[in-house]
Amino acid sequence: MSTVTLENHLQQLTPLGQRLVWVIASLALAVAPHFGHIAAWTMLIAALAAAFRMTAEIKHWPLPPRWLCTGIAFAALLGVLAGYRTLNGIDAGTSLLIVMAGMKLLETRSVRDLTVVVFLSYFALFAIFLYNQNMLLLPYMLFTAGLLTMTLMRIHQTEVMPIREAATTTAKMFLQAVPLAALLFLFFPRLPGQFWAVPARQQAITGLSEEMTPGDVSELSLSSAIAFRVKFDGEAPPPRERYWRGPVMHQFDGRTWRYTGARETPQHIASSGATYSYRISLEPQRRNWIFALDMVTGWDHARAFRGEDFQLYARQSQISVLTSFDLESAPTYVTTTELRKEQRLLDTYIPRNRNTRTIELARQMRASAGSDEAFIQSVLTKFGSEEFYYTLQPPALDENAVDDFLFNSKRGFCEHFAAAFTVMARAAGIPARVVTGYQGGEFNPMGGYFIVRQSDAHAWSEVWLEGRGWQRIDPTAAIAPERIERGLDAAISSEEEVPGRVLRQSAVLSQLRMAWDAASTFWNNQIVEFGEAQQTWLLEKLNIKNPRLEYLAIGLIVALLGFFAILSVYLAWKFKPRARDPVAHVYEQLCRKLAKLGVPRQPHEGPNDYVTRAAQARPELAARLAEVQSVYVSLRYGPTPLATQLSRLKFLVNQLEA
Amino acid sequence: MNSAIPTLITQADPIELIAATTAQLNRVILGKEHQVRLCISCLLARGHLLIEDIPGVGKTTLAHALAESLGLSYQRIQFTSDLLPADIIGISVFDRETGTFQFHKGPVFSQLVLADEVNRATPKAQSALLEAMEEHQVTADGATYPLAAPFFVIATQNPVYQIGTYPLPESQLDRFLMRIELGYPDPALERQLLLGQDRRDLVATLAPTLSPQQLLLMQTMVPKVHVSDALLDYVQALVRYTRESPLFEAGISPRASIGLLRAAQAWALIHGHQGVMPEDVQAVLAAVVGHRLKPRDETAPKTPTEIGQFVLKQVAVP
Repeated sequence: MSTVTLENHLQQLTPLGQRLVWVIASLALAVAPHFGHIAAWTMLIAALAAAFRMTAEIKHWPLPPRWLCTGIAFAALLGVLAGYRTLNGIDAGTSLLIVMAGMKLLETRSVRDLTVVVFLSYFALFAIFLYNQNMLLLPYMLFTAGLLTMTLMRIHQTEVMPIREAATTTAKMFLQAVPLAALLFLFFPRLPGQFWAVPARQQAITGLSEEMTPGDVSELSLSSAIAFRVKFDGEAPPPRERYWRGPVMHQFDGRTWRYTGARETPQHIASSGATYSYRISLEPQRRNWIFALDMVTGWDHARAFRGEDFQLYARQSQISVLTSFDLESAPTYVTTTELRKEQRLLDTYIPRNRNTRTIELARQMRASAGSDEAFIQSVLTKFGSEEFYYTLQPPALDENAVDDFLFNSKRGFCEHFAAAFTVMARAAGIPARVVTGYQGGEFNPMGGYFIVRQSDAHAWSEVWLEGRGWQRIDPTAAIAPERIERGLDAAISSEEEVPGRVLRQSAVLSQLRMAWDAASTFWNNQIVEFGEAQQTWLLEKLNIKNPRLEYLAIGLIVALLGFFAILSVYLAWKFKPRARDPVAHVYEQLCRKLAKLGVPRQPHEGPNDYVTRAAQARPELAARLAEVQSVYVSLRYGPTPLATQLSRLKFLVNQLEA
Repeated sequence: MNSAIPTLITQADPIELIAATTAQLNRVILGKEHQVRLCISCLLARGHLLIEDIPGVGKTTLAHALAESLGLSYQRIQFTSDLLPADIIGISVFDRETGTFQFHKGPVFSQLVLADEVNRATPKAQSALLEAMEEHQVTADGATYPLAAPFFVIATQNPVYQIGTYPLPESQLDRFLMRIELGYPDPALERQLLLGQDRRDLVATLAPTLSPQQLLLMQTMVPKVHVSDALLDYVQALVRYTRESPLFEAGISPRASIGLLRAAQAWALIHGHQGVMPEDVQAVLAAVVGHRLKPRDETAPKTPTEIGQFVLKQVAVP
């Protein structure tokens, strides 16, 4: 259908019908992004209601009677209740909102009803932010909110308002609202904690897991999804120190490594050398793991704790939205904790009947090396010198995964080397464990921060040496030192696919990618994440120490009231009726007095009729009113009013006793 | 002529002259004072009048009495479906003695023309009259003939639901400054009518109370009646309301808004007001705008009188 005929069709509709088209279009745009996360039937019902309403408008069908509308609305309410088992919560609430907006369409008979639908659409639109706060949504939201405002404006005009004019006015209104929105955003009291936070919903998130089977990390490395971003205060540590610690694996069944869980344990860690303070912003994940730079030494104890394995955990059960932590770490450290007996047992355990060739080899090498340190060195030398190959596409391994890797395939990713090394150390009687996490990170010069992606996922080993505590040994550094120094791109041979390598090789694309990430990081950190802490910081910058929420709220309300008072006075002044006619003013006084005397003026009543009627109602005033009438009529409608007449009129009106 | 103006004014106050005319007309048309005043206001404002009512309520009598009272030459044209434009404006006839065509003026060349049952004639005949009304002149065979001054047309019309009528289109209705209804007399007056003299005989006895010259002079006085800003605000508010209200197909035209003001000025003049009052506007409002507004749907007021009353109630006097 071409636009011309569409326009003709529109013009054939009644004025209400034309408005209805706009309202339905706006509603559709406001509801569309909810597709997928609320029950489809609710949207279907709303769509059917809209289609029915529009058909009724075109075919001049009568609208369903009130009892039927009420019945349908009640059934829809029950439907939502049955579907979600509650009317509370985001999903049920949003579904209800959408269904009811559809139901409201069924009884739109006037502009007033249409207004209600537009308001419901605003709510439905803003409910999208409860699901997704992505910066990409912003243009869509702005556009739709603008369309809703335009619709609201246009349905209230008796004359058809040109779209261009409506758009200009809407844009103006939006711009005028910006300062107010900014003020409220910055100073509206933010409540501490999770009060405003949106409950978590499940969605597919990639990331490190609680198990590590050969092939897991290399598979994860194919994803260029962002795990977290880090911004250092001051200098950043060199690449070889950028180990972001994740879950530590102790249990081994011959093939798969398992994580045992988090327990808060106070520990002594002696750090020496440089310390780095930084802010880490974690993307949503299924767990509460904070991938701190190894070894984390400073954190907010109210929000996070450090577990037995030196891993940092958030005190909430899941990091379901983008969350930031301010941390401090020291890459050079010594752990001084004694190794408990059961811990030693766990970390030297290997299944006896599995990987027997590896165990045999380790025992021989330990015997010839003489010391633990020499043994570790010889293993690393073996990895570095023999025909081992670092690849993102390691072959599948059998049940005796380490044997298969060390003696057959010799091709592996970091988890293969870390697992093999740990098994050999355990076979030689050295307590050892696998640590998973991330290594490296890409610097974004536009935002001045590091981006750590899933492709930076890494696994390394830790061994416990008498007198020196846990020591990090990264076998990957022995086989592919470029991986540690320069990242995955450099370590993987150019025949292999590495996610994002093509992007990184093109300067323009790489720049664009960095700019986009910097913008969305700003959006996430400064806008979405703006909370109590940032507000307190801002107020301190403005020299408001120890702000209290009540004072902030009162101050804000007073400021806003003051602002609106000034605005009202200004608008009243700007749009005041033409210079007040003093005669009209006196006449208004007269009308007020007569109204108090029980003779209010009808708006359409002329002065002669009115004063005559008043005189009839109050005969005692008749003589005086007659003079008032003649003077007023002469002043207001006569050809040559005299100044003296005005004072006479004022006098006469003042004399009237109300 | 210049010297005559002051004499006329000093000789007789327009209010008194009009009062005498009105009184005389009221003796003939019983109980229709308001309509008689509207009729005279319309005449003074140089407008034309449309009387819409059922037959036999005194439309013709009113027109005839008015002509007699004002000493105007009077012609009645009975509109029928076979009426031709030439029957109204006149016809050129070949004169054998002079060998030229001679224009024989039709009935429209009178000062007061009664177009009786105007909606029974075909649109062609209707427009011949309406063009003459608008132009104040007639063009026939290339020659232009001015009409008489004063020139006043009273058209009567049966309500459109009667059979065999051609309702006037909006564009032609707009040319009538006012539209009034006479309606049935109330019972007491009707009894008087039944007992009294035949109205036609009564009309024959009427003597002029106003000369055509005096009438012309008073017509020139109408636009000079003072109009204050406050009153213009009110008139504009009324006009704006008719244009913005969704109840009507279209608002009133600028021609009609000028007409409204002129009619109010004429009303103010005959009532001796120094300037136009809101009440003057209200008095003529229904007659001036009632026939120009077409209700859009069932929710709007229907008859012209109802429409006038409705508009009046909707707009506040400033």
